[in-house]
This record gives sequence, structure tokens and C-alpha cells, in this order.
Amino acid sequence: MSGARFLHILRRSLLLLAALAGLIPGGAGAQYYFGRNKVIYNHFDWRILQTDHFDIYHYPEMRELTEIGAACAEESYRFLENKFGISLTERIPLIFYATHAHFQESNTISYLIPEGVGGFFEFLKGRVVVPANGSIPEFKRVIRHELVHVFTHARVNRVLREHKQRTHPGLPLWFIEGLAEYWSAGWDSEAEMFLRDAVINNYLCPVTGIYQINGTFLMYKEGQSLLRFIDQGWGEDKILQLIENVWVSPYFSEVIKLTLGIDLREFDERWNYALKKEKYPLLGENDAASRVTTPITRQGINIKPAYYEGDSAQVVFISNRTGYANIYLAALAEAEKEPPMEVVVAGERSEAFESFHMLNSAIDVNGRGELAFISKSGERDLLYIMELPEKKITGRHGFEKLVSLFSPSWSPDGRRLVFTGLAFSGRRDLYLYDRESGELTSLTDDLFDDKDPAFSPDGRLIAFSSDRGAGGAKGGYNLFIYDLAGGDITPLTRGEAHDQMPAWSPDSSCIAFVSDRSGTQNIWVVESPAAAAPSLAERLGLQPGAGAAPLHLPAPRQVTRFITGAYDPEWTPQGDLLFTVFEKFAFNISLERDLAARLRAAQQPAAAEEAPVDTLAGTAWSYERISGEGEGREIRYRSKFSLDIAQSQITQDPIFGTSGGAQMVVSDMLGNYQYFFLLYNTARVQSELLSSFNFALSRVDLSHRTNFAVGLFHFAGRYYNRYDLWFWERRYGGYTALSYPLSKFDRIEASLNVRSSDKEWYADGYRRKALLVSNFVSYVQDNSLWGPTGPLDGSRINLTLGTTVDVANANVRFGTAIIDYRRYFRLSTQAAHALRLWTQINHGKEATPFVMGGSWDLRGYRFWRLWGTKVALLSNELRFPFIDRFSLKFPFGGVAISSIRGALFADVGNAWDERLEELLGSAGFGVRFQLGGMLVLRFDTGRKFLIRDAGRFYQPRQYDFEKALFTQFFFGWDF
Amino acid sequence: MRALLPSRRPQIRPRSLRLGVLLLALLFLAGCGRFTWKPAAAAPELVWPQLGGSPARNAVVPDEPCFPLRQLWMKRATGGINPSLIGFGEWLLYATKDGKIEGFNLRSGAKPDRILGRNNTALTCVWSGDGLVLVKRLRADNLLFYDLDRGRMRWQRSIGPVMGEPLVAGGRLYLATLRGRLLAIALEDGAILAEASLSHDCLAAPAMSDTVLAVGDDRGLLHAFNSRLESLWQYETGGALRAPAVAGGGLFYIGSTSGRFSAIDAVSGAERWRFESPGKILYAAAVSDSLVLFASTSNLVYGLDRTDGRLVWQFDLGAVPAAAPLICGSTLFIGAANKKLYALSLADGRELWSFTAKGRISTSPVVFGGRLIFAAGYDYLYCFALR
Repeated sequence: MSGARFLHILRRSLLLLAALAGLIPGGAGAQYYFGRNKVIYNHFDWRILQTDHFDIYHYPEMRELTEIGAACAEESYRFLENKFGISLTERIPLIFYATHAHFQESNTISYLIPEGVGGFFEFLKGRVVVPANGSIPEFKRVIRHELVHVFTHARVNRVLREHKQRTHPGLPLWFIEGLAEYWSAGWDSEAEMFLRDAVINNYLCPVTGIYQINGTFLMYKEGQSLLRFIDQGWGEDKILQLIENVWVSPYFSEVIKLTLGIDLREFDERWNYALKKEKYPLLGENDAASRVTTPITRQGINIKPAYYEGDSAQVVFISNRTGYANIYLAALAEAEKEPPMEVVVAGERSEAFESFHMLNSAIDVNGRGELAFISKSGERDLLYIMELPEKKITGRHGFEKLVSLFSPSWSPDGRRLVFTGLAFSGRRDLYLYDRESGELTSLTDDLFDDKDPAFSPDGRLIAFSSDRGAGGAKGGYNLFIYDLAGGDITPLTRGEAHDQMPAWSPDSSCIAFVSDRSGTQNIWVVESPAAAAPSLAERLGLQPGAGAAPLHLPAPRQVTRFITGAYDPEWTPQGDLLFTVFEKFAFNISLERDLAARLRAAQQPAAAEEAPVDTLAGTAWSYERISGEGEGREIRYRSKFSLDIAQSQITQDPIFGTSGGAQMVVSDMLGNYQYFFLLYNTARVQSELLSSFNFALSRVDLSHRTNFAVGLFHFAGRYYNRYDLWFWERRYGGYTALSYPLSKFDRIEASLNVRSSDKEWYADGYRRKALLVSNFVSYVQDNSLWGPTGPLDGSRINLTLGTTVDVANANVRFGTAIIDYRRYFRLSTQAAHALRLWTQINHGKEATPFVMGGSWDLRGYRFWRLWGTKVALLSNELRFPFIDRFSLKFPFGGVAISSIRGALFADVGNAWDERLEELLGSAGFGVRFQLGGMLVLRFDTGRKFLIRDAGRFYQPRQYDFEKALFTQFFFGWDF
Repeated sequence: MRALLPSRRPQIRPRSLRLGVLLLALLFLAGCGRFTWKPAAAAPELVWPQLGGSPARNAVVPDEPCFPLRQLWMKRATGGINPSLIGFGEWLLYATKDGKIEGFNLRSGAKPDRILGRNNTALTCVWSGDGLVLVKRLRADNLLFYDLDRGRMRWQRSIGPVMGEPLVAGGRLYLATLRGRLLAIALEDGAILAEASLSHDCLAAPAMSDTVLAVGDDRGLLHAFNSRLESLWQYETGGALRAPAVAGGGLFYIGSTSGRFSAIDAVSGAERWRFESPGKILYAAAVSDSLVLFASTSNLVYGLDRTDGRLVWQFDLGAVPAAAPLICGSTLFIGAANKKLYALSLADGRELWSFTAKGRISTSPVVFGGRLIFAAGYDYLYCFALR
């Protein structure tokens, strides 16, 4: 199994255990739990369409898309059956979602699903989960990508089982993902762009060190390139041989050596050389964008520029340079360094601006200084209007039938907006919105993907990109013109390239657009039908009375020749062109001066490039389908449960003795209902066997917005803490809990726990029985932004109130209050000041004590050595980058650690019961770094101090510092 | 508190030492196992010495099955089973993918008795008449001859990784290594008699038509040699060659991963005809008096006229084929990845019978002693009575 998949299982197990601990009050898990929320906005009526090889889970609203997806899946199955030379003996569960917003609500995976995830294969249940996004060719590609994983997994499993390799790590992730990309997308312009950039700018990661970029987008593209290299150099059959020989060694380098006949270093060198040989000559005809254009931005991802004429020429754009995606406003000036930037809309921190879809949705500014942009806000996307001078939101529009919106474009008079809307059914079409009447008009209504609409300067026409042309059957997109007067759609470009993002020049002479017809994305222009020359309009049939005559399309001209890529063309009124360039693994905004004038002066391409094409009706194409009445069969979804995880363990402790047990999780195919079983025994002698059984059984319902859990438990055994010393306790009862997310960032939790408690203290023999009822309610908020070792921005809050009462014998009665507030003040891209205010109070009869001390809270003090029914802590920490990269190389190998972080901290707090007499504190310096994406190792050193009079801790003479430095080495994320 | 007693160093007595060494030796020998076979007890027809049954690799037997076939038994091996089942005398032998040779008596149906088991490495074997030739695919000293009379190794040598199946013919062993080294080896003492280079990697098994030896490489070339391994001709097939060629009527029949199936004159190397199928051809064909039959990953079994390659019939398996077919009288047996073993009429491809095993069919069926035997799933072995 690959490292990524092992990580998934381990994280999920830990999450489940933490959840179980957190659901049983009194445990330490509750106060350490924050996290964002997966909000279930929709309750889908799930059905299953059964085809020859698939069980396709879908909901009725997306039935049309499901039938097309079913045909795509069967086609991909046949394709991969031939490629791999195997057939699968089990049916494959395919779970479809009509939109990415719906996909993000999926419970098939416990994590929040980022926007960049296009689908996944989850191998515990063998599920393939795929969202549509309006583009059927893209839907098909993702289905095929995930099915490559299914076939690869099946083949590797069979090979390893036949050879009895039960602990084999499997294929490396770069191979798995590279194969999936290569056999689904082939070698496409996106892969070409990334590899050109990596080779030209010298950041290509060698195969020998590719583990360092595991899971990143670069790894995907390098993997795709490596698979292509193997195919071209040794033949496709060698790819299958690599899979068949995986059993030979847990080190894939040995498998490569056996299969290809060369060692990994030689393989790496050959690949590197082949890439250089292929890419370097391209510099003869192409340039690096930074060498020939004027950069406006210089760091991070800066994308979707929109020109704004305020007091001066400015540009509005989306950027995630701080980690959060924000909309910025900056002066459009050519300077040695970046101009000052102002955040006009802060994103990804609140429900209102959850996501700007920065890679897929453009923004636009009209002549009155009104910015139009899209943001996900709860259940659906909203169209926002902001007056830029005042930075004031003046419009907020949602549309009932549209789940997602993209790329609004203003009409010249500012009264209307055209944008792309993705409906519940999965169809993505053009919509026209009239601000004054509030009317929404659907301009197109079909299965073709229509996107990137742009109003012409005269407001009569709309240019857009669509796959409705003849090239669409193979995934091509062309430009089309929509005539608002008659509703006619006319092609402007043709072919199997990807033409997108049209932008009308201010003088209407041409339309700039992005196309990969030269190999990677570059800016092209095509003569505009609204130009002064009427012949083109006539040729396009846009004149009144034009019949269905053959059309003659103008020949596009390439404007930029960047070796990597360019996107998002945006004209200024002066005829300059703004656009986004991809270079050095970053997206930045650049400016090309006086482009319109130069284009006018340049020679027009020869008419010979024009070619007659059929009318639109002749270029339209259709999708194959499998329906429930024909080749498939449809049934309603019924929850069937299957095992997710089963683990057993035995522990031996010199004090607590031996214990052994098992846990198991079962869930249904959609992950909406889960059962957790926990069983273990802590008996030390046979006579204790029955009384020392511990079990817990929980049922969790995630199918609605409110998550419910109910459970039963029985825990019995010896325990020890510094407060009670040794005691024996038997607790059994039940609980119920609910969690209601107010938004992605905050939620309300409540729980009720009823248990019988029989407790005996060994020290004095005291024994008491109680029937305890605990009620808790919490408010949790989390919009933090994480760095390599902990949060760097945002805030996290946990406010909890509760009571625990012995309703039978009045032996226990206490109240609980918890405040855990953490705020992170961003100082720079990688530095922050973190503040934590934490207090927990249990007050009353037999109040449960809390613990404190150690690297996770009061540093310098022994781990959990401070006990009290009340705790309080104030932590200040300055977090900053310390060492960018530390590597050691030995003749036999090496180790490298990146992003070693430093911290200056000061902690003050204590735990007490009756009265807070003194405050303990520490101050010092710490170092932390992350290993493997999961584990953070931390080292702190400093001095401890004591504040004798807690009420006057602000007075310096009250501090007693210890002379010696403390050192503390532990693990765990920053608070 | 008990007093601590002074420690004493234990003394090892000579007798204990001798017993310990004897015990270790017995354990060692038990791990090796011994297996012997007396030729006098064999029935001549109970012989299936190598892949395809003969050096021509053409799996054809005259027995006429009577449907429905009656299952005699189903047994389990201890590991994944190598595609080459070996039958001789009363014994069925097979190699496992984790390095063991297992076998059992067909008449008594006794449980598998391990005769070799060391190192986890894939293994294959062929029967040479008085011994077993074992090929450990990836280990050093990977070619061994196991003398069945004496129950021990006669010779062994190192030749490099081998992925294909060896060929025994005329007292010699022929095999091609992964790195394209073709060897002719004397069975008596393991001496290399001749050697040739294929120039490319090789996963396929050699086949023989009279005195012409043919083997395909990874780049799609079918090479032909004489008995001294002198090159005779080469033929380009358009795709990697995984399947061995099959010899019949002076021709070699070969399919490649490009989907091309060709009939080539064994002496001159001239192409007689070719047939293009839409899928990859990964397994050997079978040749009857009038037809040549093969399957591709298009899920189809093709029956072509062997003289001109004309399509006579085709049959949809519903899944990719899992092994080479076997001609049994007027019936074609072929296994598929959907766990089914099909019996088709040789004349028109009509399905006569099928059986669904516990896993995908993993070997070609072999027939001897009136029994049809094949492997399925990871480690299942099935035996049916033909009549």
C-alpha cells in the first residue's frame, strides 16, 4: 500500500478514536478539538444505476448526467481492461455528484474536500467518487483517472497476494498517480506547461528524491512525464511489467532495475536528459514571460486580473499570497518591486466568502467602479457586487436553481451581468442577469459546457467558450458568439484545441483569448465580428437575412510565445493587455503595453487559413448514454454496511499490566451511517476477567446537517492519577450527542451522558456509587490557516458549559466551564504572533480535575504533572521560519528536513483547586519541524519562573526565575 | 525477599550438542523434502512435461470430453500457481509463485506434498524425462536440475533473471533470459552448448517446429534459430511478444500486444497471412487440423482458417482471456478472467459447457489420464473427469 493510503487509514483511525474520546465527557479529548465542518446542505434521494460492471450511485436530479457518466465508465472499463489485460471480478461502486459543491458534502471520506480535488478512489470499500463540474469531457477524464487506480490496485493486490507479500508497501505514489494521469489525459498541454517550467527553471525533482514532493501537484505531473518516458523508451508493456514485478522488492528502485535493466540513478539521468533535449530548444522560438513582459505581481498565486480606473490605473485580482484567498487592489505601475496592495475582500475565513473559486472564476469591474465576483456562501454560490471606491458590498444575489456560478461579465452600461451557472442537474450554461428587474435569463440550456462569457463593447454580442463544436467530442473547446438580439450562436474558432477566456479589445477590432493550439496556453487574437469590417460579420451569418450558408472563420494569430503559459487576458482602455503568466511554479500578473495598436499595425494572416465549416447544427455532437431501461437497471439505495477498519492490539505496562482488545468500524457505502465497536479487557487475574471487560458501541448519523451520535458503554478497571491516586471505577451507561454546523467555520455541539458510576479509592477504601447525568453544550469556531507546524492566521474558539450531577445519591455535583481561545496575528507570509487564553473550571462536589504541564501547554513543566479542578493559561508565541532546509548526505543516502520553524514563547498559568496562590511560567525558544505530514517534533528550551502573588503578576519583583535552563523534547502541533 | 543465588554458567554436554545438531539437521532435511519417482510405474500417456504439452507449444489432445463434465476434486495449493502445470506418471506437479514445488498423486488424490521450498521467489519447472528442471526466476544460481531418481539436485548454475518458460527438446534445455540471452543447455550436466542474443528483453517462452527454434522479444521481433542457435530469420510483429509461438504444419503462429496474429513459415520466416484483432494477444494459440484459435483482450476467441487466416467464428468470453486454450478432441477449452472455464465447439465456436471457479482461471487446462486439470483464483486446483 502506498504511504498516502496508509496515512489515510491512520488519520481516520486517530480521528475516530479522538471522536469517541470526545463524545464521552470527562475525557481529555474534548478541549483539544477544533476543526472546520462538513456541512450537509442537501439530503439526496440516492439511487443506484447498475450497469455491466458498475453500481452507480446518483440522485434523480442528475439522472441525465449519470447516464452519460455510465456510458463513459463502461467505455473506460473496456479501454482499461485491454490496457491492463485483466478483468475485474467485483462490481465497482461509482458515486457521482452533479457539482463540486455537492461533492464537498460527501461522507465517503472524513476529511473536508478541497476545491482542487477532482475525485478519488477510496480503497477500503473500493469506492470511486467523482464530481461533475459542467464539463462532460472533464467528467469522463476524471472517471477514467480513478478507474486506472481501481485496475492498478486490483493488479497489484493480486500480484502481492500470489507472491505472499503481505507487508509490501506497493507501488510508489508518483507511479500510481502518474499512470492514472497518463492513461486518462495522455500528454496534455497542462502537463507540458508544468514540465517546461520545471526544466527551464531548474526545479525538477529527481526520481531519487521524489518522495519530497509526495502528494503535490508537481509530483502528479512529474509522474505523468515519467510514465510517458517509460512508454516512449521501453514500450507500454514495460509499464505493466513494472506492476507485475512489484513483488520483487519493497524498494521500487530494485523493480526498475530488474524490469528496465538500468538502475534508478541511470533512469533518472536519462529522463532528465530527455526532458532537457525536448524543452531547451523551445527557447529558440519562445520566451520566459518574465523576460519580455512587465510583471505587476511577483509572488504567490495571483490570478484573474480586472482593470479598474479609479483615481489611477489599478488592477483587481485574486491571490492566495498569504494562504487565504483574498481579492486585492493594486496600482497598475511598472516598478522594481510589487506595488502596495489592499485587500478589498478577505476570503476563506467567513461563511459569506468561503471560496472565490480562484482557479475557475474570473472577476470583472465596470466603468462605474463596481466589482462583480462570485463566492461560495453556505449552500450555494452568490454573485456579489462591490463598489470599489468605498469597498462596500451593494449587491448579493443567489439563484435558486444554480448551485455554482462562474466568471461574471458586465454589460457596457452596467445594468446586466452575464455569467456561467452550474445547475443542480450538473448542466453548465450561460445566464443573463438584469440588476434592475432581477430577472435571470438562461441563454443556453443544453449538456454542452459553456463558460467564460464576455460582453462585447457595444453590448450586442457575448463571446464565450464551449465544447459544442466538432472538436468537443474529443475534449476541445472553441469560441462562439451569442447574438442577444436573436439568440443565435455562431462559431468563431474551430479545432480540437482548448480555446477559452475571450476578451474583447476596447476598439472591438479583435478578441484576445487563451489557446493551447501551439502546445501550451498562450494568448491569441482573432478578428472580432463586431469590427468595422462588415465582411466578417456577414461571413459569420450575423447579418439580418443570413441563411444557413457555410461559414468562413477568421484565422487566429498568436500574440504571446511564452514557453510556459498565459491566461486571463484583460484589456485596458488604452489598449494594453493584462494577463496571468505561469512561471517558476507561480502565477503572476503581467502587462503587455500597446498591444492593440501593434495588432492593428501588424499584417493580417493570409485568407488561405480560413476554411469553410458547417453551420452550428452540423458541428453539434451528442453523448452516449446507458439508461436504467436499456443496458442498465435502477434500484433505490438501501444502506448496506461493510467493514472499514478492524484493529486489535495488546499492550503491556509494568504498572497497569496487560490489556488487549479490538476496535471495528462499519459504515454504509455513502458513509452516512457509521457504527463503532470497541472491546478490550484489562484483567490481571482470571477472577477479574468478566468485571474488566470494556466495550463501547456508537452509532453516528452524518446524513443530515445535524450529526447525531448515540451509544452505550461499559468501562471498568484500575486507574491512577495524581489527584485520586489509585482507584477502581466501573462506569456504564449511554450517551447521545449532536453537532450542528452553523457554517463551515463554526458549530454548536451538545451531549447528554447518563452513566452509573461505582468508584472505590484504594488509598482510604472509600467507595461511592452514583448515577451521573452530564450535559454539555459547546460553541466551536475555527477559521485558522495552517503552516508547516501549526496555525499562522485566523482564530479558534471552544466555549463549553456543562453540568454533572448524581441524580441518585447526590454524591457528585459540579459545573464545568471551558474557554479556549486562540488567535493568530499574521506578521508576514511565514511569521505570526499566536495568543492563547485557556481556562477550564470544574466546580462542585467531586469535581473532576484537569491536567496541565508539558510541551502542549505550560512548557518547561513535566507533562501533565499539574492537577487541579481549575486551570488557566496564557500563552504568547512568536512563530517564524528558522531553517529553510537542512540536509545531511552520506555515501549511502541522506536525510533532508524542510521548513524548520522557530518560536519565542512565554507561558503563564497554573492548576488549582480552591485558590490560585501562585502562577507558574516559562519563557524561551523552541524549534519544530514536521515529518511525513503527520508528526511534528518539537524542542523547547528556556527558563521557568514563579510569580509568588498571582494577583500581582504584572509586577516584575514578583517573578522568581530559575537559574537553570530547561529542555523539553516532545511531539505535537503548535497550539 | 528471596536471597539471590550466585549464578552458574550452564555447561553444554557433548551428548546434548550431538542431539541438537541432529535435530537441526532433521529440521533442515524436512524443510528440503525429498521426492523420487520410479519410471517403471508410469503410464506413457500420463505425460504433460511442459507448457503447451510439447516443444511445439500446441496444446492438443485427442480425448473427446463428454458434457457435462464431472468434478472429481478441488484442492488448494499453498501459494499462487505458476501457469505451467506438469504431469508425469501419476503425479501432478506445479510451481508456486512464492518458490515451492508441490505435487500430489492423481490416482490417490493425496494432499500436496512439498518437495522443495526455500526463498520466496517465483518458480517454474519442466519435466525432462528423468528429472525436473527448475527455474528460480530472480535468484542467483537460478537454474537447477532435480534428479527424480535420487531425489536431489544434479547440477545448478546462474544464468540471470528468467521470466519465460523453459523448453525441453532432444535432450536439451532452451530458455531465454529476461535480458535477451538465449541458451541451449545440456540436461545431463548443465553445460551451455550454445548461446545467442536477442538484443532486447524477453518474457516469452521458446517454441520449436522440427529443428527451428522461435522466441519473441519485448520489442516485437520473433527470432528463429537452428539447433546450434544460429540465427535464421526475424519477423516484426508490431507489438511486444508475451505469448509463445505455436508450431503446426511447418508454420509458426504468433500473436503480439499490437493485436496482430501472424502465420509465418518456420523455415523461411515469410509471412503467410496475418489477422488484426482489436485487443492484445497475451497467450499462445492452439492449432487443430483446420483451425488456429486464439483469444485477445477484446474478450473474443477467434477461430481462423489455418491456411489463409480467414475468420471462421468468434466467441465473446465476457472478460479477457486468462490463459492459452486447449484443444481436446473437437472441443476448445479456454479460461477467462471472469472465473469461467468455457468449452466451445471447435467447428463453430458454440458454447458447449462452462464452469465458474472460485477465482479467475490462472492456467491453461492440461489433460492426462482422462482428467482435465486447471488452476483458478490464487491457489485453487480443479480436476474434472473428461468422460
